[in-house]
Amino acid sequence: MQSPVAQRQQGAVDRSGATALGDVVELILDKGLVIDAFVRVSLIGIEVLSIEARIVVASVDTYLRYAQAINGFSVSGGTS
Amino acid sequence: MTAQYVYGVTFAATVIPENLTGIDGAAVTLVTHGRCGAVVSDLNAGRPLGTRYDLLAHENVLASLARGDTPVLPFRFGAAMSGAGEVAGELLSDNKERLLADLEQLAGRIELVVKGRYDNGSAYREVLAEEPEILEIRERIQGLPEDSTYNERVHLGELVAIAMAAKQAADGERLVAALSPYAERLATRATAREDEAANVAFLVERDRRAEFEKAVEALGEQWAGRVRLRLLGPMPPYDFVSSGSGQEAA
Repeated sequence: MQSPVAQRQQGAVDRSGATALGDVVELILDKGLVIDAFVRVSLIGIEVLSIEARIVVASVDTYLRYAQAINGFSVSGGTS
Repeated sequence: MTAQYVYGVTFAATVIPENLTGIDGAAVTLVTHGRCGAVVSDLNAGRPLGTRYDLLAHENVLASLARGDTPVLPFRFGAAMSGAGEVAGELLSDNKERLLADLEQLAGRIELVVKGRYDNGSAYREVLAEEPEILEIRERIQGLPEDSTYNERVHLGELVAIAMAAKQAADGERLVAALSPYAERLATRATAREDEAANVAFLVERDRRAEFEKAVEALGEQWAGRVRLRLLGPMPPYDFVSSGSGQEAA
């Protein structure tokens, strides 16, 4: 399942900026300084569209997905 | 008075790259006070933010600075203030000790993120080989109608989930053990996908970046065919900005 997106591949490691939207979302919505901790008076409340969190919740649905996923694979030794 | 979108805080002496644009293509500028500078652009606060273009613009501004040698404290998406005077006063002047202390502490350091993904189902194959019960249940319900095997399938999936979580934890520890000698701090992030082997952020001194990357290459070769590694960055120290966040890299 190689990504068709042009990515510089060097040896055994893929290198890229955090340009995939998923990588970006993970960074700038969850991490970084929160401005409210520094500023109160002159903050502007802008509405931020909620982006669906990609959190895997342990649930029946998740388990069923695992059960489905493991169907496609055959047993192999540790090395392959 | 024009509203300002705030990307982050850096030293006042920072030179913003020419033609760097942010949200809605607005020019990125620096509002300074004393030794601190806020990286901002004009904002027309008339619409909700959060389209993919907004998110990518925010990240691109900060990544551009990190790729140059600029230390920058990244703000979380969606920070906006009423005007440039307020940015200089309430943000920079009122918080200057704390901002400067954080900047000094992070100067000369970059964040590099290493993500690993199980290659071509390798983790599932290992789980099948290592957990006879999983293989047994799978064989037993194969070919039976889904309705009659609902409970077995939930149980099977639970066992797989547990085995995968143990595998992810072990591989995360191996990755941290291999790379932490070359880093100053690290922050383990939750793995968000089933096929994700590890997701760890490292704070690395610029001078040691080459060493660190060599260690990532070595691990990638060791795991070839099993776990595919991705190296992201350098990026601003998103995972290390709130003081004391992350843990010491041994």
